[in-house]
Amino acid sequence: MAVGNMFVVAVLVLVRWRLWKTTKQLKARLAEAEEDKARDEAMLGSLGEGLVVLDTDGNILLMNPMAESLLGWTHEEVAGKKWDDVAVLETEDGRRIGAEKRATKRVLTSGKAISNDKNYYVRRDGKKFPVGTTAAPIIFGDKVIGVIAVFRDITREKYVDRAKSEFVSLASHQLRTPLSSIKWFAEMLLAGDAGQLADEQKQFVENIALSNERMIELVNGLLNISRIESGRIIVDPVPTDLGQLVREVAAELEKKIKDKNLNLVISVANGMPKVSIDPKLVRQVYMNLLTNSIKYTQPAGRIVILISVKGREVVSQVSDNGYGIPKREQARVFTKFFRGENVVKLETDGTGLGLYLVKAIVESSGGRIWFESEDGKGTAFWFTLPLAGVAAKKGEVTLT
Amino acid sequence: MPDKKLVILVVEDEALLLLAIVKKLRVSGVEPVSAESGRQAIDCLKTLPKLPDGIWLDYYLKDMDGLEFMEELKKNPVWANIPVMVVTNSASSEKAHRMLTLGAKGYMVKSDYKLEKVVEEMIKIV
Repeated sequence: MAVGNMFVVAVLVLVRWRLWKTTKQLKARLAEAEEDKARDEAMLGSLGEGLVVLDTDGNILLMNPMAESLLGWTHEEVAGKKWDDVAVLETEDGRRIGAEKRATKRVLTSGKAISNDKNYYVRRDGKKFPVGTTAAPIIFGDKVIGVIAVFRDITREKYVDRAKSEFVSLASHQLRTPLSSIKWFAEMLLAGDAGQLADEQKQFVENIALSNERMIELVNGLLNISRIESGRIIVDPVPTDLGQLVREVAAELEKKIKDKNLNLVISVANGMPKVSIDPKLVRQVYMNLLTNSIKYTQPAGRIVILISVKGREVVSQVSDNGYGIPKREQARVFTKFFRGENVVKLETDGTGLGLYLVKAIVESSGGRIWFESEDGKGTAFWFTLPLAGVAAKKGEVTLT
Repeated sequence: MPDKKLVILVVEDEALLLLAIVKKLRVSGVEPVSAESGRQAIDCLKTLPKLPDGIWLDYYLKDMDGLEFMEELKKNPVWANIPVMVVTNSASSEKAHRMLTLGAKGYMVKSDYKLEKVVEEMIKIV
């Protein structure tokens, strides 16, 4: 009997011990889960961007403290309400954007993340701010179960962007005005409009005029770069005969080619189709490459331009047997203000902006550019343009 | 013999540029009338005994821009026929396009051309 009792007690102790252990484990897991949740909440709370989670009907499930602060609503006040009514979205001129057109709705059908920085949120107090948003569908298994969006106030970015545009426009006008004045007065002095100049006087004025032309070229180059960097360039593709374009460029440079007695060969593959590119932009590419070949090739040298089709690309080659680019400098060829050590003394004229601009144009046209060069033997540049053409882009400015 | 010299109204608010243009036009046998603002140019048109043969117009003026000036010209059917050459430092092709649509006969960027060339083009359009 005593043995039987002891057995029962032992079993009870064991059961109790197991229960205690299981409870302890459960408590630990619960604590872990609580900690995880608190950590997630802390992360969302510390996020510098507004974050909102919606169900597939556009009802608010979650809003982080930054979203609360940006919009002026607390999560408790708006949980379960339509996001479209809480964060009213307007265009710059104050027209409300309907729920169907908002990224948070469109991602449900597109299944992909959508970003936008063109519109404005209206806060609870009625004030507006420009907003940058990225919305993405939440996919669980293979079903879209909701939408997650992050957003931020981009007032500062808009301001900087505008300031940059204004600077470019101001610089364009303000810097060119005194340069025009110097150009025109120097021209009149040289033309004898204010009486004949002595030889040395003439030489001095010619030097002024030459330096001024370099300054004009530099201002134009910098403006072009600032325009292309700002992404505000208009791309206006039209079906273009590249052979004709390159011949026009060569015709413009004819005097310089003749002055150095250079031999220029232009060869365009038979049956070359017209390519839909912006001729004003691509013209700058040929112009810069050919000008470089002319400048950096010794008199009586040879320049070859070849245009052909390779796969889905049009490949243009501009090569010369000129001074070449030293090996150690080749990595810097496409950087701003680069000028080869071996040529700066030979050719003082040059801004070091041409190839940087050329690369920017080629790449923004969906092409590639590369080169091979050997010091003292010559240089060949190649660039491609998509045979299918370039997409049009509504910008605000063109290159000069 | 009556004075057959071409008369060009030069609208330019930069004093030094105006000086250069006026001088070059005189040297080239053209009679310049200068105006330093859009308003002054409009007043000139009202008071000149004979309308100018052409207008040399800077795009950015202190009191109005080229578009506004063209609108002013269009208000008077007689002025609307005077050939206008826009000579500016703004190289925006959009502006050029708009000015040409409004009836300007030419659009030249100052720092890109010799003064002699601008005068030559001006004489061509009048």
